[in-house]
Amino acid sequence: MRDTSDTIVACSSPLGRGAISLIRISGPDLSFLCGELGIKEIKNKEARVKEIPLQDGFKEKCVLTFFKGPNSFTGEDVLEISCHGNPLIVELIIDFFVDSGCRRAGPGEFSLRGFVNEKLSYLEAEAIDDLINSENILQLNASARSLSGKFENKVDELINELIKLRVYLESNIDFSDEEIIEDFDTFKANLNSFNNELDDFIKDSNASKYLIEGAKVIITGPPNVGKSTLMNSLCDENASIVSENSGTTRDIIQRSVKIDNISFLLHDTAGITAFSDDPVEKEGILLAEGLLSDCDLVIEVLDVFTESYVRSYDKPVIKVENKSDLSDKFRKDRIKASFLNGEGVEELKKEMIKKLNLPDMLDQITFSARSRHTKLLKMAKIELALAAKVDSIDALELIAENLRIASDFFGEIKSPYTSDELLGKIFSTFCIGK
Amino acid sequence: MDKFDVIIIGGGHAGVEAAFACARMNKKSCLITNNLDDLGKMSCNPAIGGIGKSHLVKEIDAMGGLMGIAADFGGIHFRVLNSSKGAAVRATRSQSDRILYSNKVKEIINSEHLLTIIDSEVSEVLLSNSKSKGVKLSNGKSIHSKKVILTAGTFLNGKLFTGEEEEEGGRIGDKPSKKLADFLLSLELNSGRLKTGTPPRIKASTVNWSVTKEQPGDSPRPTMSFITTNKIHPQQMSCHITRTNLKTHEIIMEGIEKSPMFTGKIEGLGPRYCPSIEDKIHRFSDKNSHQIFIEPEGLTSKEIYPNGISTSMPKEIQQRMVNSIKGFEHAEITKYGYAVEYDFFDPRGLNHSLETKKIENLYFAGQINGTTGYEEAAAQGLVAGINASLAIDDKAAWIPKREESYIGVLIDDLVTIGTKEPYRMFTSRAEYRLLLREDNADQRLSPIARKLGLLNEERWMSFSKKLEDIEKERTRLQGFKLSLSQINDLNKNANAKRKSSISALEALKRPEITYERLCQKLKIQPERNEIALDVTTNQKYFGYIQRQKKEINKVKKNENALIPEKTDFNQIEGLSNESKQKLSLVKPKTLAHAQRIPGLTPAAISLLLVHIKKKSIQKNNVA
Repeated sequence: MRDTSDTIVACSSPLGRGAISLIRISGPDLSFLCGELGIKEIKNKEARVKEIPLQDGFKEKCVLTFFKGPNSFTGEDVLEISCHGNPLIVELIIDFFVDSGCRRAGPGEFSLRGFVNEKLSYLEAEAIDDLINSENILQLNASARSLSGKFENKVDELINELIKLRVYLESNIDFSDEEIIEDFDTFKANLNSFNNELDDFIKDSNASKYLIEGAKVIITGPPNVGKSTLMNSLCDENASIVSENSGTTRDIIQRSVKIDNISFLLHDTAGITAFSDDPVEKEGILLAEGLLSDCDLVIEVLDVFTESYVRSYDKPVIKVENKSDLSDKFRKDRIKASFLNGEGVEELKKEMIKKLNLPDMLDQITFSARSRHTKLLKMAKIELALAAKVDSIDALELIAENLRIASDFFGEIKSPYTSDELLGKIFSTFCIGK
Repeated sequence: MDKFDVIIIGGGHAGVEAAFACARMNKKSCLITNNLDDLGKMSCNPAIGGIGKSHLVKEIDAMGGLMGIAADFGGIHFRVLNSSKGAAVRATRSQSDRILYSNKVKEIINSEHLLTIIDSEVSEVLLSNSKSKGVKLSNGKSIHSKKVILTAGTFLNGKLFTGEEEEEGGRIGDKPSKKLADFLLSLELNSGRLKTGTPPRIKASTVNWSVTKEQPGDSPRPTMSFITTNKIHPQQMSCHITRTNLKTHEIIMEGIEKSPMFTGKIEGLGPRYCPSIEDKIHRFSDKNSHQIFIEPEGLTSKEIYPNGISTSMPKEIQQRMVNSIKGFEHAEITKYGYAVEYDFFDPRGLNHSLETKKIENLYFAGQINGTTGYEEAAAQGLVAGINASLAIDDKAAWIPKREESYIGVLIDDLVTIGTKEPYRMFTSRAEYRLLLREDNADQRLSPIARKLGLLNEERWMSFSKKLEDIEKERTRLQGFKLSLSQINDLNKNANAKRKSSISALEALKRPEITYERLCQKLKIQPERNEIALDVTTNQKYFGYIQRQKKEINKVKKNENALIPEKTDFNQIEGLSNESKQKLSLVKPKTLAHAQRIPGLTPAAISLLLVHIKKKSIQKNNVA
């Protein structure tokens, strides 16, 4: 948890040269800071032109706009400084405020403060973040719709349906002496249609997650088969250190590449081998294993000399065999490639898009979801699938347990509701009580 | 020098359980009641147990309490509800003979030599510097004690309603404890108003039983206590079922504007799970008929209790309504139904120990805290009795945990969430429901009770024997290997594929394999029911139990994040006023406790966390 009591500063516009850059400051010390700049009184939503003294007598003429808390985006006093769009000037201005006692904001910290000060719901905070980070028009639309509550509405809708299912179960358990008309078969049918609806939602969420966050790809395989070369040829850049020695890739190297509007975050792993004694390499291997459980897609690279290599993954896998130019023998179930010559790269790119199983019409995705959401939705789905498997009304309390856990996952997306609310639903639905 | 360690005001279900706990913990205690006859009296319907409630009874019993035993000695009808469902939600319910029940309670209480029982009315609690020092009786006499447990909360400032008639009082025939009520109001604790109601009582000999549906008790007959057998049960009786009809509903609709619930005379909120018949007909107008359980009041009683038609309609309408019901055509009403509205004190003013936050040494238990039901009251009495005794010995309070018992759920709900309606236990209130079974209440609580000194040798021996037998049975079943074909024999939907052979214990995890069939197959003598049930259930629930335990560990982390006692929640920057109020009222001691406060947003929780961390950093810097 980050501290929220100090004053933070960061550049809020993209780094780089442009007409204008925007620096944002938020926190309790603004009046003091303005005093440093010689501004005695500050008024809400007032803009002023002011020179900020930087290094060696250089002064930058800026526009200062002030928003008084709690009526600001963060809920705190906020100052926005517009300066010339030069990264050096931006850095110097930030330095000026850091010297005056501010702290550089971490990623998302302004949104966090807005959330903490109850200016934004968690889902809104995320949607804003998505809006800012949108890199194409598809993303932009999806996150704008999310901000307007589409995602939240859908989650609410599912939560309400889940409550109805739980009402049936809990009333049958706690009020079995009463006359409750609904039967088990109806319940099962409702549960199944809920599960189908959830499946569709997860598929859309996944697609939207790829749009917003991109897909996480792990490139794995034994050492020295050309994983780093592959990464370079996908990115057209020398990102990884490529060498002839086995085990050169010490850290996980990340590169992002865009294929058909989808960002792929490639992770080049240290050659996964359990036999390395090098502690640095071992750490890299461990990291890779953590990543494996967290990724969306695995690219397993072997080369024509690899004797036998059997790994199983619980993620979609693309299997590639490199160095096909050096031998006539190759495995049939793999994409035949020679990364040095660029052979097989296009085929691999196509396969990467295919494996994401995106819906046909990407522009119809109605919201932005994040991996946090899709992960929770999938966990809920596992519970609900277990519940759907139970066939006997005798095990109602076990179905109820699966549904309770599922609704906890939904609660983690939204806000939790208590058993008392559940009881309230029971009483309003059924005539209960002797 | 104090005359007593603990004074217990009131002799209802909370009072007797509190007094009995104090006595077992070797505290010189005194129970004061204004009617000796009322000790352990069942003032509403003559039943103990039921879903959620029986879990409380078994837990009280596992803690060495008296309710389960009295229910067995007084029980004239026993049933296991949810018997076709899994062990966690099965619940024993008993009908009691009111006289036999309260006689057993009196017998148990009277045999405690450290306990004095006084027939008198308490007019106030003696206070000095916001600490209680004893009580003052209405005859002016003072009695001093280290602790006071107030359980005399039944119908404080009670108002009775029958039609347009209105009178002051608690239950019919009870003296209202007006002086004490006035004193309590002077303490300026947060209070609220609740209501409840009763059905008219009917003369048993005027019921035409032949047209009602008989519901006999279960056979074999279960017991309420872990240490009794059903041989001690008195003669058994049946319950009967009848129903309201359209004519009944017509009569009620006709008189509904005369019901105090609808004239606005009653402001208190009634229990949603126990609505009056006029409420049911008003709210569920599409239902043509409602079920009525005809419960016997006792072996020698001449009255029956028609459960399901609680009402406060005018007497004349009650009579016509009753006579419209099948079997009640010629029924005579012996007592008319009525609604009662009464005060309660916001239980969020209590610590988990049930000591009031405002007045040291004063504990509240029972209906005064907004609960309804004998079982809920008794559970609180037990907790208050234990904690008053522990505090005298300078020991930390016993805070039953949510994952450990329904008692823990009850106490935590009350002090954290408070209540807007009379609070009743349900299994759905317990998030760790699968762990909290009736049949394992002793395993969950008896070791704790033993440590606290609440269990006598007899109970401890019998519990230890049970544990031993469970272990033996598990080992025995572990020793048998079942071949693939044997498993498929036992399993209708034969789909065992993976392993060639598994142990008999392992085989029990499969839903279709029952203990009985397994024993037949292995040609072994089955163990007695309670052992078989425990072994089977732990296998059937295995995966679920593992998961709940994981979840508990997760929550424990936040349970260990202590909120410093002196935290001023109003000083936390950025918190909304609503959140500040909620936190200041409950004064949570841990982060997990704060998370359970309804309506506190995740944002508020993160602010709280930041605040605690900041404070602890500041403290470390100073040190």
